Amino acid sequence: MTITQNYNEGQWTIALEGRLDANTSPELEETVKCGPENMEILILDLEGMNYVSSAGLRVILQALKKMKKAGKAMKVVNVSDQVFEVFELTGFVDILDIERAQIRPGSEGDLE
Amino acid sequence: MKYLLKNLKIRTKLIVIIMLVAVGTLILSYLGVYGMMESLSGQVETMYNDVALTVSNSTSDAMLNQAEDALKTLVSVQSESTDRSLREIASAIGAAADYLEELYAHPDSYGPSPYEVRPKSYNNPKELCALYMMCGDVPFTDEAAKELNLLSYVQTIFSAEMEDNSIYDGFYIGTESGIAYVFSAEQNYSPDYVAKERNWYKLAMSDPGKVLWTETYVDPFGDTYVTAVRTFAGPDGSVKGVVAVDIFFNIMAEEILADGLGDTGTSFLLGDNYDFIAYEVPEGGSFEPSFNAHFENPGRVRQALMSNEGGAFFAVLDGRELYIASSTVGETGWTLCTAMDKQEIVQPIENVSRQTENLAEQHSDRLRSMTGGIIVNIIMAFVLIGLIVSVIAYFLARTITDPLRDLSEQVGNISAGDFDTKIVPSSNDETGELASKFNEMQDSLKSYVENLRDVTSEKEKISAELNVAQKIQADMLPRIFPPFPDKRSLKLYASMNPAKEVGGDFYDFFLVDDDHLAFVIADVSGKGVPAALFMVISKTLIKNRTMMGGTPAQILQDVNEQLTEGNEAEMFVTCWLGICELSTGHVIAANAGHEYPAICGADRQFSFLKDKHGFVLAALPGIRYTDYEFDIEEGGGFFVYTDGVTEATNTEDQLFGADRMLSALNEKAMDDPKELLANVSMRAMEFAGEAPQFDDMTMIGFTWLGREGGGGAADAVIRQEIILSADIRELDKLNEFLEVQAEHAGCPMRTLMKIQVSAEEIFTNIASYAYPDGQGSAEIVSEITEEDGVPVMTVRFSDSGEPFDPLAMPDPDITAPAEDRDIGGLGIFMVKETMDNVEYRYENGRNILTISKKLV
Repeated sequence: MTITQNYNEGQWTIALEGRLDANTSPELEETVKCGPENMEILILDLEGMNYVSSAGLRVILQALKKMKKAGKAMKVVNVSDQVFEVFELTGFVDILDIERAQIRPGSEGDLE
Repeated sequence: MKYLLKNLKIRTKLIVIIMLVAVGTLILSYLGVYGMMESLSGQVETMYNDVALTVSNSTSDAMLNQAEDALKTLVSVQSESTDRSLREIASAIGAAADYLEELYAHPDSYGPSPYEVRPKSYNNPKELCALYMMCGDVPFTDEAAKELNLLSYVQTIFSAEMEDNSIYDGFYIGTESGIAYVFSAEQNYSPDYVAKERNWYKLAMSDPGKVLWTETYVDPFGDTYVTAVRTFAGPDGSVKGVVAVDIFFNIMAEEILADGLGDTGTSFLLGDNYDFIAYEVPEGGSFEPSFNAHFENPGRVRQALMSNEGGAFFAVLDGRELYIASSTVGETGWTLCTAMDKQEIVQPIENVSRQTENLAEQHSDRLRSMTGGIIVNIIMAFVLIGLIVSVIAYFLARTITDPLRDLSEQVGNISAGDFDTKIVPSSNDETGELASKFNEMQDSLKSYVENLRDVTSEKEKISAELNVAQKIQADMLPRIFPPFPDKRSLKLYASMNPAKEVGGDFYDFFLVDDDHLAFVIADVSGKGVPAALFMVISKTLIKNRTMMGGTPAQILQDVNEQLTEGNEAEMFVTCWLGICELSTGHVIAANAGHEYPAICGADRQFSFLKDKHGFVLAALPGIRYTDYEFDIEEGGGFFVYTDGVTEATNTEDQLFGADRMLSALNEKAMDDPKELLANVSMRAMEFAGEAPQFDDMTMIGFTWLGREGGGGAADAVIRQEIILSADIRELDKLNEFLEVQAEHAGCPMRTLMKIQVSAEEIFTNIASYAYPDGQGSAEIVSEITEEDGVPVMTVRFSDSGEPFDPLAMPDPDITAPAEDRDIGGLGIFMVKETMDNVEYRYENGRNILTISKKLV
């Protein structure tokens, strides 16, 4: 999994690419732990992410709790159908501010 | 006791020692003082007793002397007074006698007497008068009348005396001529009376011219009398008669006895022979003159009286103990005694003695109470000193133990890992010395620990590297079975149970072309990273060379050349290489110093193929190897292995051996190589028992099912399995395994993701919880079947860890707000939600969790 960070005027963007599973989620956990100062909103860009397991969900929930506690906002954008399905299944859609992807990732289309 | 002392704190020990010394000293001094006080009070008591005794003795002597003096004085006074009285009487009698002698000498000078003398008769008047009678037969002649007339003159003396003194009872005269004359108030008439025969007359005659005293006598009325007598003579000197006077002694005795000494004083008069003349007759008693009747021990008393050395003496008279002094009455020779109760004399002495004793006792008591007071003071001082000593001991002990405690605390910091804080010595004594030694020790420890830390991190690094090596090694071996699902003509299974330390075993199988399957089993000498690296090189070289074509002998020959080149480590590899023609079951093989292969026919009975061994690989260049060939019957096969199997060792150092391995192979006619390998492995483990696995156990089992395959008809089942370490890092392998299967079945991406998510949840569960010590494996079997024309993928996970049914976990609350969300149980929830079927069972010591999903 590749993690790309970007900070711009209080908007902290973390872009994830690949699989967010038990092996890779600790990396994201570490990343989320130390957010920049004066940050207002965290945006998780899941455009390149096609897989999430409960380990990944745990980190996302952690991040959300942390933001809420600090009175900050968090948004999850470019969520693929599969990942959205997981969010739906686990009730995460109720607590996350989700913006679904407009364009499906190409790899998904190949198999279908 | 010793044990107890050992376990006491130093402070307590010090306090105990100081207290013991102090208390011991105090007790000793207390005992000393107590003894001194006791002996002093004893001495004082003795002294007082002596004083009391001396005082009482001297007092007693003084009192006795005093009493004696008093008694003696009294008795001599009384005696003199008595004597005087008696002498007066004597002189009166003497005067009467003298007068009578005068009358007798000059009878003619006296005419008729003025005094009438009447004859005595029965009816005499009871008044003072002169009477006469003629004794016996003597006639009253003129001569007699004349003599009587002469005699009558004496009445002048008699009457004068009688008037003067009431003690005179009467005067009387007896003459030689036979006249009896009496001048008295008491007139007793006895016609037979003869004066000359009376005792008084005879007494006077015994010593003529001298006043004599008769013994006292008691008349019939109980009155005591005594008589004084004297003869009178005529002019010729012949005795003419006797004149006598009766003394009424009672009166005199009263006078004599009247004066007693003190309260108990008494007197008594003893006659010539010590018979009692007079004493105080107790009321109602009668006079008893007998000496013996009155005294106890009369002989001794008589002796005392007779010796009469002027001293007083003790004697018991009529039951009274008396102190008696005596004096002789000169006139009569009587003994006058005066006495007083001993008690009266001794009482004051006893009083004094008692008082002295009381005084002594009082003093003694006072001394005792003083001693008691002093002892109480000593005890109080003892308690006070004890308290002071305790306090001092406590503080003294603290000055010793406080630095020790500080030291102990600071040393505690060292043992807790703080090597930088130096101990500050709190004193310059041994404790301070100890502190500085501790500082030195701390420095040594610090450098030692740093050293150790370096070494340890080095070791950890090596260990981590080894783990990497082991993983590389394991990763390099094909682990998915069946490896060629579309090849129906064979069953193949291989396994490697690595020993704890990474070894150099490896196996390999791969298709050279569509009809030729190559098998490699090898054992690199040595262990650790070098062996692992050499194994990687060997495996790669062999596979690459095999893929290029040629017979096993040629391949091994070339590989040997390559491995020998630059083999500085002088490692070598034993290797068996076989290539099977799948269409015929024909095998060409070569052996480079490896164990004999075991071959079996359709009967599934294995035997060793004693092939010709070539030399090991990588040891020497230019070695030639020989090919050999054999054919496998339909349903037959072969089994190759490393020495880890035959050389499995039990605790008694016995080897599992080739024979036992062969029996394990032939135990049941097993045509499934997996089953076969599991059986051999189990038997070898059983044999080794508790002994640790020393070497890797690597095996390949191969069964040739004939050209068309076992059942002929190709079943729709696509079944593969993989064994993974229960380690989350194996997750990628699992995903790859599942992707291969899904690809076979044409599974949609979205479905594959769901299966993968579920597989990940289950596998991470096993990796995290099944094996508490982190060591273990998970077997994953995947099958593709068809159900109602739809392919279904079933994945079965099994582990030999702690029994645990994840499906029994309660579902998480997926509606709670973010703050209350808990991720626990979410994974299994996702499995349950996304899979078509989820099943758990615990069987033969294994957790088996099966999931299945229609591939649509």
